Amino acid sequence: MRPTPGTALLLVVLCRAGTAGPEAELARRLHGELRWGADSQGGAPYVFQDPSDPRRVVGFEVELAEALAARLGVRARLVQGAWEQLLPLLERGDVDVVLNGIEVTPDRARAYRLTRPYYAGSQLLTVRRGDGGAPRKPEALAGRRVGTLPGSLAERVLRAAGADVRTYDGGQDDMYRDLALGRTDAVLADAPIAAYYGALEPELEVLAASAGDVRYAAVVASRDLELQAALDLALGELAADGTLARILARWRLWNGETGAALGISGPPADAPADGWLAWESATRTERSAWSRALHRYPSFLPLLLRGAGLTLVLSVAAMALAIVVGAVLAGMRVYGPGPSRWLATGYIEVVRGTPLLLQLIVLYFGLPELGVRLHPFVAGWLALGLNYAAAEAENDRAGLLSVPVSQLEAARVLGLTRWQGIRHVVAPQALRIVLPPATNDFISLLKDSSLVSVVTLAELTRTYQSLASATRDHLGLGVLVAALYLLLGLPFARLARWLESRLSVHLATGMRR
Amino acid sequence: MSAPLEVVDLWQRHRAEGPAVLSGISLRVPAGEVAVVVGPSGAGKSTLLRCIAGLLAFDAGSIRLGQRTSSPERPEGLLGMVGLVFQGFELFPHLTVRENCLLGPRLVHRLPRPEGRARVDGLLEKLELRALADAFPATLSGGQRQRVAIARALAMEPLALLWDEPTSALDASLRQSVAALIRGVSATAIPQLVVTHDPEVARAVGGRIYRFVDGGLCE
Repeated sequence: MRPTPGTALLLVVLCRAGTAGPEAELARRLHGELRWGADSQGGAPYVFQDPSDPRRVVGFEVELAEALAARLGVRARLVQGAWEQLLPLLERGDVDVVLNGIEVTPDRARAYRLTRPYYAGSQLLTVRRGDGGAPRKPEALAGRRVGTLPGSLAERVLRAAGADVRTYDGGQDDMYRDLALGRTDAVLADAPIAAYYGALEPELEVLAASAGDVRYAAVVASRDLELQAALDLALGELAADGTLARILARWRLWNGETGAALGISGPPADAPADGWLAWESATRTERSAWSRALHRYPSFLPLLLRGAGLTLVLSVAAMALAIVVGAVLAGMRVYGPGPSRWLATGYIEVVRGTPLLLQLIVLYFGLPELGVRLHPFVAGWLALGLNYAAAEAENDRAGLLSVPVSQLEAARVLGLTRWQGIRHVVAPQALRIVLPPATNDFISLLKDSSLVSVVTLAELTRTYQSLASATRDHLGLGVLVAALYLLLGLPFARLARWLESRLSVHLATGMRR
Repeated sequence: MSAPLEVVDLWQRHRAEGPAVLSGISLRVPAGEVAVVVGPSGAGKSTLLRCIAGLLAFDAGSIRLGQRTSSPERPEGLLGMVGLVFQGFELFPHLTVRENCLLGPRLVHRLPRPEGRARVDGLLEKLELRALADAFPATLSGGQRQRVAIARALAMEPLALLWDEPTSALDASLRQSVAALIRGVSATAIPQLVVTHDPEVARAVGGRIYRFVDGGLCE
């Protein structure tokens, strides 16, 4: 029997009712927001800081995430992370979905749940214009220096082709600059990147022939079947009602491959490409460095200051931890009984002998396997503080050993306890020895704190990298950020010098006051 | 109230299987008197003082000071009871003269600052250091430093005072005055023990003289 219009309507209502239940439940589970992971440092047209207003994050994936969240009945909240660390964030439960140019590959499909694709396109080779010896075909790549993004599908293609691969953590702009400068022979990247970065450089030529196919999908944790199903449904609806095509057209990303992959027709021919146009005008405007600084930098300052604030707070808190733990370790090592000496020595050797970055990643991404989930700030604070504690312990030890043993004996003969002798006689003398290297360490820590960007913290260097990649201004912003680092460190260096002169007063003048 | 310092059959070796540094030392110093132990450098005189002061453990024997005793089981028995004027004085370089003397009374006797200050300033007065109360040790002469070390020890009102080579860090011209300082302390009626390699000092101080020979004492 053919369904009458009435029964068809009933079916639709039943279906809606059938999906409304789980949808509402999903919205509840998500606490009203879809936390989606992306790396704004990756740049245009994915997720990047608006060059004309860097406080805003824009890009076609921002619009897609918001449209998807709206379909799920929740708000979209962006969680920033380093691109290579986005998928681990899923397993950690810090984000619900990753939406940031993640290419569909068999191994990703095994380890995670991929939605249906939302973009299909090519990988494109870019070479120097007029470079006769440039590799213009995938077959010609063997042995040639080729730039690409680390962890991308293009990197695998290049490795398979036997190319001499150079990967760029710092962003897409860098890899095209290196090509223009002759440091590489070609760049292989996804078509959107080539269009937004490669094609803007007059001395570069983006080759039209595809060097490989690529599809982007949203990724959820392997356990999250429910969210995958909901996102697939939502993507299907966005494709069917033309929203997806309009978003892609806004960023001039619409192409036939996407249409074929999703089984939809394209956007209207007159669909505006305002996202692309805004990017092009913002990055193409040829201004002198001076006028750029004058016009743009004031609007960058709030973001940079926020990054600097995080850097400062994190560094001061980590140094405080390092000083306390370091003093305890040094005390254990110099004055403690055998076992405590070995314990402290073991700690110092292990912590000092392994990279800080490794410790940070283990602390943040490894501990959850044991059921310990640290907040990003806490993980960064602990990693920096406990790492520098080893250095401070060695400083303190040198300081304690610089005070003759007879000083402690003189204190003991007066009747002071061992602890009182250390506290009132040895430590104050050691402090003068410890202070200069400790100041040095604090300045190092201030700079090393940039590593915490791998645990989603947007500190100063991270903020710089994503701003520089969004505005394609590495030099001017770099000088500005360097100045900020100096400003952060200088007051502490001055404070330490003042303290040092106070502690040396007995050597210099003789009379107090 | 003051008691004699008694050392009875004291044995000490630095390493378990090493030679004995002190082999059966016995001596007695009555309250208010001074005994001098003379012997070559490295004979073990400093070791004897460090055992009495409680800084060094020993293997057999005992040390008595009135009710207080040190034994191999409790070698730190007299720690804080006995003053020791170190050979190099060991003043605390980061503290002024007054603070050097105040540290013990404040932390060990829990003396409030005004009382502690009164006690210390009285001692500094007697030792002619009053004008230097706010100076740091690095600015003082050898003789001044020695007097600060004495003041610091006496500020703790010790039951005995030990001197380790009191003249070795001083100019020859000051040697006579050291003997006078030691006799001056005798007025406080505590026993004093001086070790020195310099027989002249021993004679100048007066009092009973012991000779340190092969880890033992003879008069």
